[in-house]
Amino acid sequence: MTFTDNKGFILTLDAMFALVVATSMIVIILSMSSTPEYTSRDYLYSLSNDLIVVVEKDDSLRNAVLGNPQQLNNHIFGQPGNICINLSIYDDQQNLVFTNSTNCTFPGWNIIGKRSVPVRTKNYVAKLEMWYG
Amino acid sequence: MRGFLFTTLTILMFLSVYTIATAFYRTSRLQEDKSDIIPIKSRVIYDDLLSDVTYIENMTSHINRSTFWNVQVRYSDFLPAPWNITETIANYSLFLENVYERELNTNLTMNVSRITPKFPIIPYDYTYGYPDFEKTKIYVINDSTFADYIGGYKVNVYLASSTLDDLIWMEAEDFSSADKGVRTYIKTSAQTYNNSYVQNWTQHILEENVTAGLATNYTLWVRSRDDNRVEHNFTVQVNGINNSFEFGDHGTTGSMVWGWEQGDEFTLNGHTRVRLFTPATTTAQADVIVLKTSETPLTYTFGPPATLNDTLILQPALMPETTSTSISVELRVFAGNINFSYSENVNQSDHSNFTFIMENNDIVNLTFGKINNGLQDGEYSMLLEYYNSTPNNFAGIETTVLFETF
Repeated sequence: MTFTDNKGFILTLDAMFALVVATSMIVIILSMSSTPEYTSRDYLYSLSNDLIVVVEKDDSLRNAVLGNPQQLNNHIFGQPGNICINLSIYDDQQNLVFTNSTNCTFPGWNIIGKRSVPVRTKNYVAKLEMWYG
Repeated sequence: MRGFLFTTLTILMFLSVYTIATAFYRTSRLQEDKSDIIPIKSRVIYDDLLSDVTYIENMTSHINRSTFWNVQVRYSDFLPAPWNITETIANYSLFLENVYERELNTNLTMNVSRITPKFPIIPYDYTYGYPDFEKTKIYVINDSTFADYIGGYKVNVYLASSTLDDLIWMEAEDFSSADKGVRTYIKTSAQTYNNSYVQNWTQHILEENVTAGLATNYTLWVRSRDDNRVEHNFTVQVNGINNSFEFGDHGTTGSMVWGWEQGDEFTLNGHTRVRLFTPATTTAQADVIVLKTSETPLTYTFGPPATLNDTLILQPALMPETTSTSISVELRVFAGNINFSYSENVNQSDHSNFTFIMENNDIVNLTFGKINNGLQDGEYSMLLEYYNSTPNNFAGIETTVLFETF
């Protein structure tokens, strides 16, 4: 018996090839769709870096120290829903001047960014903590 | 042959199923417990300390590129400085070394002596800056003979008049011992503002040195705790002059209650030494000592602060404010051996020194270099100097220096 004489075997082989191709396609699609683009450490780091740069450059941190925290609060609560943020500002005596956070449970690990914030003649440290909720 | 094909296909199918299972597992794990994200403690994100120095120097810069060959570099500035730049930069340097460095857990130093009030504007061979850190003058120097640029001042005057207010807020716990060996009890809490004060400074002197930003009268305000007992009173001394009465007796209803008392007026100018001491052999409890140039906001902003944020709202704007008050201010421009114009290109090429009077909301455009008589091809400088011709009134002058190429 030659290889081509067996029609049942060819059909089976054809079906198995199709199954492999289909399975491969499914694997590729699932891999692409489930790539955790927004759950990576790098993304959290980039977002925290962007956020603290923005709030520094647009004077949100200074305004919060001066008693006008609305601008800073808008940044804190304007992030994606799965992002948890705690932003605190301390004076040079480590007294808490400002703090606000999204309604999240603190997980015990997080991204932390810090900034020096001179406000008029005094100096402050802003501490941004960010984690996934 | 057939067996080989079946074996190969079986292996491929097994690998496919394994890959699917792995992908699902990885996705599920990330979405559920995020354990793939490694904890990062105390990560420091790069900080632009130079921007802090620029803020302290109170200058902003803008670069406008309208076309490839036409570039404007704008530096906006204020005269005079709203605070002592030298002192503030020195404090910022100490802050970096003593506080911020510890926060970052890394070595961080700033060589204050290398901070210069001169800013080279690259690549246009101009230097912009101040003759000193007091910021009463701004100069522009053309450093080269290449004169394919023009430069100019745009000077906006916003008069602040007497509405410019200054407030010096001193927390009692920030006072240090004027005589050695004194032990004070400082109770602080980040959550409860009222628990941050100094007490038990019996018969000792506590001292704080501050800078009064304005040369005028400051009213003393003191927040203390009144327990209705004379022996808890204390005296506040400003530049060696005692307030005419003791504090700690504001008479607020209830016992051991915090309250404000208004003290005397003191004429201040620059460095100011404030001392607290108890005349009796007992203790006193002080919270805040304030020196303020105006009593006006006190009626609605002063009061026992519930939180620290409340107290910070009291900080007044030190930047110049626009008012309708008409005050004359002299701006003197020294331009060596150049042609320049002002106020809609009125040529003043015969002048090397020029003084003009500006009033509120005045805008004067000064252009030098490429005017009427052709290009100015020599080195030259331009100094804008601020004079306040009206004593006890204050004017903020916003200047914009433009460097433009064609």
